[in-house]
Amino acid sequence: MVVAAVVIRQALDDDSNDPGRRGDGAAVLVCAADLRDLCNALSGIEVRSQTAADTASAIDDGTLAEDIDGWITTTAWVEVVDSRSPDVLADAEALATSPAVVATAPGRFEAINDLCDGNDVWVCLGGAAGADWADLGDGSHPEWRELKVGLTAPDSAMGLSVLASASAGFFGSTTFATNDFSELEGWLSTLAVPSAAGDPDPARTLATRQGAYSAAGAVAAVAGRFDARGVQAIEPQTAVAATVVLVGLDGGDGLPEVDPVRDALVDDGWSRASEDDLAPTLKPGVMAALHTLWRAVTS
Amino acid sequence: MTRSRPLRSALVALVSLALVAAACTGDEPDKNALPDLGDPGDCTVADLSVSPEKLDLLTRLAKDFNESDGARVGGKCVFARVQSKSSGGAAQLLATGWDEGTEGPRPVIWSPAASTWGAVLNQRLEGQGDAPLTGEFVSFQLTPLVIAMPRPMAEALGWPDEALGFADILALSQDPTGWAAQGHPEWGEFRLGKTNPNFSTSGLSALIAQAYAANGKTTGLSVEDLAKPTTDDFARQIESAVVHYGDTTLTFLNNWFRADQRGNPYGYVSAVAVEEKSVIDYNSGNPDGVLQEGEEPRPPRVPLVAIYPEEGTVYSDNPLYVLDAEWVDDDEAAGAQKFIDFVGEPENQAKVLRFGFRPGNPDVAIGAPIDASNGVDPDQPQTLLEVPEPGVLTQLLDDWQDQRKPARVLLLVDVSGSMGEVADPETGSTKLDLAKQATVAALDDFNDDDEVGLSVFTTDLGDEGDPQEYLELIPMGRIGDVREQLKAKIRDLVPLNGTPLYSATETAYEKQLEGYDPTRINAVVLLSDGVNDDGEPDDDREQLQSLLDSLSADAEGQRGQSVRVFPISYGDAADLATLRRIAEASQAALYDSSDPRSITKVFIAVVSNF
Repeated sequence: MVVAAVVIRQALDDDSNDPGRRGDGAAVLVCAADLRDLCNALSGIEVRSQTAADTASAIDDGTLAEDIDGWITTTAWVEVVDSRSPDVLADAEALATSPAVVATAPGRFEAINDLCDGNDVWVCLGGAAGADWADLGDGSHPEWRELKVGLTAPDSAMGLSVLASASAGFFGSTTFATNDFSELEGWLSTLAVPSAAGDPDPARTLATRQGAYSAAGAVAAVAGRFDARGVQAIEPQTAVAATVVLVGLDGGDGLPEVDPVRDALVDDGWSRASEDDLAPTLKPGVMAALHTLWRAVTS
Repeated sequence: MTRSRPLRSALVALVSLALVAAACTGDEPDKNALPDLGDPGDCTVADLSVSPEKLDLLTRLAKDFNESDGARVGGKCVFARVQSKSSGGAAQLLATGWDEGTEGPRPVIWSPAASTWGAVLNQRLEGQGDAPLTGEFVSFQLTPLVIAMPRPMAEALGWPDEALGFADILALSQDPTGWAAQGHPEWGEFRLGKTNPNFSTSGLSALIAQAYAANGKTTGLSVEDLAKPTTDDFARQIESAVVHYGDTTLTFLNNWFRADQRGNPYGYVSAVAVEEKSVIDYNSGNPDGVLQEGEEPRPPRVPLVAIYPEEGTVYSDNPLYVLDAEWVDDDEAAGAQKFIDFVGEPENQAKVLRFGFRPGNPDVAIGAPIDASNGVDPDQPQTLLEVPEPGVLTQLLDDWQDQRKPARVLLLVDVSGSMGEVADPETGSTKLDLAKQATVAALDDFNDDDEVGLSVFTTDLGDEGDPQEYLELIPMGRIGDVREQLKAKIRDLVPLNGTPLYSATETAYEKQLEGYDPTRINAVVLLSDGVNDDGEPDDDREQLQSLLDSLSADAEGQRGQSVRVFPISYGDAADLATLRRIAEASQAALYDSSDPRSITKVFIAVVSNF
């Protein structure tokens, strides 16, 4: 409900946006749409909402409104922009972090753990994606039919981190390079099918549309919102975190105080981040290429 | 089987036919029982158009919202105002132009039963070169499509230990021994209830689920899948078990409930594709989901259970769309968002749950009444089906027109003198003029291979020496061959004498029984504008009782020869109460056309049963 509401708000915001308009002297931030509810904690700052991929594209092609001072997104997108448009982003401040996990559908946590049998959950789920549960594990759950995994839409701030987590799971490390992608492509193609159209919050889908997926890639703090519906989380063996940052834009008026966002994130189940969390997740250029690969396999 | 009319896009049919849904049947909830929202005064008004099954809930939530401190935007109060429109009907109006004079205010928020309708609307708009009106949405409540069955019937099939689905429905429908094969010959043949997918979200959802089941898939249903002979066979065999279609599941649920109260819920239908919420309502003694003033819910003798098809199912996801329309200004949109936020609050989502829906807000755990005591399972469904692309949906509906069970329908038209009264002062059209137009138009909605006949009734028909009360004008025949004859005869009708309602109905019914065809939906469509008046009032009571006894004995009998009488109560002098009894006795539905100007819409709804 929250995320969907955010999207509506975004649409309203977008309608009323004038990209060239300067606020009344207040700082102007663009907030990744999937973080918008948390950005709402800010006051005295003009906050605009936009999908992270769209902001990155606007930065890349120079069409981002000039009055924007900073961007609240994840480090995954900072990596994308840094590789495409070096020197555009200025200082960054880490706000909060949460690991990417595999959220399991109500009642399926044990079965997925049994299926994976100590192997990395991404490797296991990716290998089984599309297979029938009658042929998986001990075959005791034919009623679940096809094993489907939802992935948070990688155009979003959190979604790209989740995609990085799945890919790191496949390779068993975060040190892979784009010339390894030929191995990844087929695996990802199968894994991506159920959410190829772009599910902004598959953990919510698990909770509210029972039977849609057996599992979903999500950020742990988000998955934790759905405890009441029996959603549980499995941590992949190769850890990848989504770290929310405030990053300045070259030419901006400096970064405003955003402690309320950090506090809101912590209240939402995120951990307070440190400067160490700003370190890139993947090798230079790989995050951007990963996003491009996603688009290719889902188009 | 071919269609007589030019092959229209099913999408067009979908939205055109659906326009009338929910406005016509006598099964409509009594809106008077809902709270009065009052006068919005100077507040910013957020108008909502919502599907009928959630009118009660949303009206109550709107009342709470309007009285809340949060109902303010920019220092001005916000007033949420709810009106009911069928999902397909609203989609039609939004696509073709919403006349506020006849249809009420244009919505700021649109909430059809399922987001499928939002996709249908955008597809239609795109086809017209118009921008989409719906985008991202909040799904504020959900309910899955299930197959409802009386518990003993489900148990006979192995429920709850065995997973059941459309394949089982198919097997049952093809078994000539019917329930005898399951050890229950007393239940007769297997009978399925499904609504018309052009009108009803449940019907559309069932059609999607059937097609997936036929292909053994849960995602990616394609036009190529639909073109397979095996898919076509599967669909035709399922449809062959249908008792009748119709515009709303309430017809099935109300008839089922009445049959239960009379002690035999097994003879009318064996299973009906409905939303999970309807099973809860039924089992709580409130089959239409709305309690009338003073009505006390009384649980059925035999409860229903929800079977979640093992092949997978779909949700009615009840989107709340803030329309991206030129008539929605910024304040209205902001006010609408306030309302959406309000209904998403846990406290209000708990109310959603009390109404039998699954809350869209996952902070609210699923609990009672969604539990085993109401015949439903909160841990189901286990498999969800991907909603097909709009193009596949369109093909699915086109195909259904040919796959649906054929009909054998006798049109019985009252040509009493009162049918000559002026019904539309603006045009001077009489009741009979309007009825003739509607009947002629409705003929085009039958498939060529449907069989249709025409009879009329009034007193003193025929020769002076041998007066008749019932006259067959066109014998039952393939409508593809007799459509123009039917139209010509209908156009020639004139108002005559009295209204021998009971004897004519019994005669028509008996004629249909004589020619009963088990491969078809056998029915009489009875249009009447008055009370029984055959010049002999002394035997009226006996005549009516005889008719009702015949209808109910056959409808509840095990011989599997049910002829259903669908009365249209036409004009404000029609005998609505008696016509309702006739409909109920034959386990059909009454259609109310008190305002004769509604007869075209009503006739389309009636024909949706076939």
